Amino acid sequence: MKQYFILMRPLLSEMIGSFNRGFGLGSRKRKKTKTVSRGTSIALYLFIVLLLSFYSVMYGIGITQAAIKTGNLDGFIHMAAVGAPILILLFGILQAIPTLYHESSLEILLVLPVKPSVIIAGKMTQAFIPVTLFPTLAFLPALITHGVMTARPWPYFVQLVPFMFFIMLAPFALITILVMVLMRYTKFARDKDRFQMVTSVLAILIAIVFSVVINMKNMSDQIPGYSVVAPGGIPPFLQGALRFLPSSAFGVGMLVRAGSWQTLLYGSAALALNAAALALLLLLANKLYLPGVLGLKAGARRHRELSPEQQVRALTPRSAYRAIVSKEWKLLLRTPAFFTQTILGATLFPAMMIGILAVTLVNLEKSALEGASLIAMARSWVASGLWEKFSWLLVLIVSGLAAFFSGTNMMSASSLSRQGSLFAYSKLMPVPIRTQVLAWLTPGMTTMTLIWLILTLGLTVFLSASWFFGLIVFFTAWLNAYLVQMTGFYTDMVFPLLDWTNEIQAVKNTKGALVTSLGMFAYLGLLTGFSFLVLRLSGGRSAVTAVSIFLFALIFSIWISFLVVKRAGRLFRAIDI
Amino acid sequence: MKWQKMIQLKNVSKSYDGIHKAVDNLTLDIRDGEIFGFLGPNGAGKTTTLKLITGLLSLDQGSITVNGHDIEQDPLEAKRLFAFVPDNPDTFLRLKGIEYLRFIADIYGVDKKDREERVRDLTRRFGIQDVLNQMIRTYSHGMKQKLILTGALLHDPETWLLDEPMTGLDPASSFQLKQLMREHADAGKTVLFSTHVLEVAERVCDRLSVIDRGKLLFVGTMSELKERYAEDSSLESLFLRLVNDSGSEGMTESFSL
Repeated sequence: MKQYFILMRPLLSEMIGSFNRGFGLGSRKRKKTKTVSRGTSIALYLFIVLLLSFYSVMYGIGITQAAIKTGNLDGFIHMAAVGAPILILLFGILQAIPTLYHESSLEILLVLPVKPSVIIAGKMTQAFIPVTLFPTLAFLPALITHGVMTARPWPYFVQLVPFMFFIMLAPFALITILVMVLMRYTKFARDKDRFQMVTSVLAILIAIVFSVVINMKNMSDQIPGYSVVAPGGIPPFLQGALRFLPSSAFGVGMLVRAGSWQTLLYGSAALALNAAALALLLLLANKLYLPGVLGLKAGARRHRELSPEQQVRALTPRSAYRAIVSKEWKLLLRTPAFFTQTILGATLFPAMMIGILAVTLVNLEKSALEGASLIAMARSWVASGLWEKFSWLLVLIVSGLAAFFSGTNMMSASSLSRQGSLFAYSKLMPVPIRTQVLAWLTPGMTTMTLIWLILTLGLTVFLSASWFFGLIVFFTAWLNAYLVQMTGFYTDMVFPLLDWTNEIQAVKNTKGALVTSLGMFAYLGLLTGFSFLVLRLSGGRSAVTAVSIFLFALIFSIWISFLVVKRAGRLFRAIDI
Repeated sequence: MKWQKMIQLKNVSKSYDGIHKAVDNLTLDIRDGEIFGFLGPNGAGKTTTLKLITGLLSLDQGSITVNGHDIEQDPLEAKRLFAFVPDNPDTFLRLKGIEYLRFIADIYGVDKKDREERVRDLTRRFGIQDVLNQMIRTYSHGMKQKLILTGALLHDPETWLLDEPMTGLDPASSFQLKQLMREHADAGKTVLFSTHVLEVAERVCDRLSVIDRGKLLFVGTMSELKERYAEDSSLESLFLRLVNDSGSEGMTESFSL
């Protein structure tokens, strides 16, 4: 046990350290090394925790108010008991492979005079903790709020933390065992990149299908998840899910019967089940983990040798710009973490949203609320030219959607950090920095332009709209998407993370990623406020407001472009590597 | 004979933390047509100096020119003139060998005929022609090193800057590299390399320098070093004396060969 705690110190530091570095809190080799206070680090953690907790509390209030009205007070506990393990299963498979199989620290640890079982336990803990953070922050504050509002007995609150732990540990053990078995015994999983790529794509697709299915079920929800507290008791899909999640079923018993002695029975059952799951995990890990890691190949597949003709073809000259763009695309497509966090996210997210919208519209058509058809109304709104009277609304909605979709696209926000140690080569190349920056940004900008070209064409054809309508949609969307991408990139230039050890850090743990994904919400708020202000000041003139919204984004885009160009000019001087 | 100064360092200083100097007021001329060895214990400032010459690090003080082009004022022209091989070849791991070579050839604007010939010639000399269609991450350390060397020499640069280039190379490839270095210098061009392997420095270098804690301790030929200490010892013992005289603590440990 002592060795375990000694080992956990560097492993936890590694985990927290990568987060710190990502947010620019660690020391980097710069001209003047800045030491950032521990207070700043804690403040940032606190901010993120508070932000997520705030959303959780607000959600808890909303759903509990509904539950009090319907009298279905236990629905939310059931939902948390099912939701958290599902998140663990999805995040688990995304997180476990890179943490357990890609971190280089394992090789250093293996040569230490420490029992392999201790190292394995340490690595499992290192994988488990980050996976549990989001589900805990998403559900725990909401469950506390729920408990206060519904005046639950004190054992409910005492048992909340063990409840969260119990409903997450067993699913984590299950998914980790599955990963280890695949790694150890299947040829397919021996190539860790291929395995990570395929499992990540599958996990994301499952998440999308799950979202669409839930959306179909909860069509009439006033707030997301309302149906779980609707009158008539616990919905069948939650009851069905709990049959496959025994640790969650016992956990539900712990909280629902918190006022009775039965809670101890449920708690003991949950504890026993988790202890068994943990024991099985560690037992199997002792047999599978190390042989699994050591048996991995770095994607060594048999490659045919190049014939002299093929070699000549493979060496065809290109411009330096095209060479860098090609290299960027190859690295994006071949690096699992880069691919899933950039190309896959950027393309699947709009597809998912459109899928959900389509399902919603089709369902509405079927239910034919009061005989009205939303699709027909939208077509008529566009065809009659009525939309021009509300052009500001169109511009605002398209701006918001573009910024939102762009916020899920980390291609530009990670352009510099993705270079990692390759940044040294960028400094060595006799290629102007601005050419290089343009090449780094090309994949993100190309993807974004293509997405909006397809979306605009689809929308214009679907609504039988004029080319003028299409142009407004496209340029508004492009401008806002560009603004979000460039803001993320500029942040990445100011706070690059080049000394990452795991590729996922370069696309997720950077300030650029943070600003792109969260800053977009601030921009949306600002834009909406500005729109209503102009509408009021202009006496309700739609065209004036629409143009103002467009100009708002345009001015910000020009400003951020200027900052990027200026920063690029001295990028090589600003960053020593 | 009048030497051209290919690389000139004038009063160069560099500090990472603003307090301790990794390179301290270094002045050095490296001439055309010579193989110049850069020796020193661990942490002496060799890699930092090479990184300063290549522009990877910015100067705190002084100036560096490569064939008359200042690395800070005229970086693109200076960079066209040299090739740099870093001490760590783990790079571009998800490109295939041939893709990496094409990338480098494109960046340096090597024309079609030259790139085909040089890729063929260099990969054959280093024995990596059969693995060019594989991803670099599947290569062994030595193979990666050979590929990086091939890429560095692809545009036939005037100056080679090599940081510990023999590390990981098998004896045959090491011999090939030494031969290439000699041919390059004999053609009137420059090779500057850092090494820990004193036997290599002794055999290959036309001139060498010894650096410790950022300060230059010696520059000259092997015979000049022997003259200075008036003894006919190996480079190893002369090196140890030189650095010990400068008061480097722990040097003996780092150079216990």
